[in-house]
Amino acid sequence: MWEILSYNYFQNALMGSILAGVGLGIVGVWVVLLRIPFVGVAISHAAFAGSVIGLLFGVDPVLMAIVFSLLASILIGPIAEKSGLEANVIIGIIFSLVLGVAFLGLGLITGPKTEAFNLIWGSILTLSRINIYLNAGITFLVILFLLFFGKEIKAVFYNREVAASCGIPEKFIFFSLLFLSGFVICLNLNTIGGILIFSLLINPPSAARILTHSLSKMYMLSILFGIVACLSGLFFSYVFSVPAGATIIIVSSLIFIITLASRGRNGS
Amino acid sequence: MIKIQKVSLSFSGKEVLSEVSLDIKKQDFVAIIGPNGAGKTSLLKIINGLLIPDTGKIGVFDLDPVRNGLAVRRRIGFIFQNEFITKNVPLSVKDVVSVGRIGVKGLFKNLDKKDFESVRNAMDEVGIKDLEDRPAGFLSGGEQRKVSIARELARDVEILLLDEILMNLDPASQMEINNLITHIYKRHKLTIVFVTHLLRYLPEGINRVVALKDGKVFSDFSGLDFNSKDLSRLYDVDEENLKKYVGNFKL
Repeated sequence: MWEILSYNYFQNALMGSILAGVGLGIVGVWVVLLRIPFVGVAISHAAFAGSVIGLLFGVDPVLMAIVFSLLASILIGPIAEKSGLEANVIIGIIFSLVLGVAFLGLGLITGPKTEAFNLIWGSILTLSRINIYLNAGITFLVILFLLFFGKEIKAVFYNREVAASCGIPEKFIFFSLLFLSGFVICLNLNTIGGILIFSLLINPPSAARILTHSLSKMYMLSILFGIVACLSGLFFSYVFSVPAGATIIIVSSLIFIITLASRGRNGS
Repeated sequence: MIKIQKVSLSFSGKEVLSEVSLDIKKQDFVAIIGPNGAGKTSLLKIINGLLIPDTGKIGVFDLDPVRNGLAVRRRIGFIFQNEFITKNVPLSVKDVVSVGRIGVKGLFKNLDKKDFESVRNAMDEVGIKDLEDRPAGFLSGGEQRKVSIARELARDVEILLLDEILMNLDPASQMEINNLITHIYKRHKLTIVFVTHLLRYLPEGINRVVALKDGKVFSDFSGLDFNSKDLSRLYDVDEENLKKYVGNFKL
């Protein structure tokens, strides 16, 4: 069984799993505490729309997926600010728009569409070294942002208006959190897929929140649960020859269910 | 300390403030009253630069809050009317009070010993020292208000803007918070602007009452000049009926 570790594709999958656990574990805390969980769905579908448009116009679909999802994550904050609407509402508007663009593009493409659908389903066992480097880069960036702006992020979680009134540049922090979340989600689409990523984004931080009232412990537990879900999902997928993405999601959901069951009647 | 000159503000074509002028001096303890929608909260947000007026001039510490927003906000405390802490966010009481020091400290610097001393002193003064490790979202309404007050005290601000901070509190908590505000006013010699609807429960020490109506300054009285006749005109309610509701109002 251990010989599997000597294969390049499995080493990539292992590294991709750990990076996804760390990156999504951190930004998962952000989206859960900012109460914008559907940002994952909107960004992944923006990537899908981008790849469809790429296929349609003969441009690299992966590049277009990155461009579209980054554009979506950059736009959410400023549009919410300008319109005075909740970020969740803007996420809904962007989600429906990119879905419309994707379906229009699918209708117009005459050739194969597999590359676009790969982003929706994900394929951790086909990750390339470039994928790993990109994921490592964005994970490093997220950790740096957390280290440099941890105290300001905490204030934004507490209350954006209070943070602004305390002289904290809350718009910069809030917009950066949205942008980095979008970036991490986009680069992890190959690992886990656009539909399934939602679960890995929400389950680990939610399970962590159940177990602790401390923000720093929530980050650590969320990262731990993310890594455990990815690695054990990968292991079960290998042992039972079942799809890795789906297994990862089932494990992350089980982690949430177990922590929920461990919670006392009054939330103790 | 706060100079507001002919300030007007509109939202979606509706004028919220209309040529409001006010001069608030150092250590003034001003109550701002008026009907709902009179522009009280907007006025507070203009003072600390969270809202930008359409016309008019505003100066706080001789600075323009529109151009020097961060610098002005770092010296002004603000407690909002709806800032109760949600259970969703895993922050302790100490974490929340520390938020007050974050803006003072600025970017790229961690809170140090001196900051945590300010946090501890503020919690001590407000009487929440024994709650410091409790999850803030699980406190009662009165305790949460004290946490907000401690947060602003920890910042060493010079002006305190309080927007209906007695809302949703029981009478005992309202009394306690009022006494706390009076204590803070006397001890720290702050300039306080206190927006309220609870005319029976004004904190001791208020030396001026500014009434806003339809976005304009309706009246600006000092000390004992303001009475129930003025109130009935302010709220467009019969004086006798108003007396039954707010008592024989006199500062």
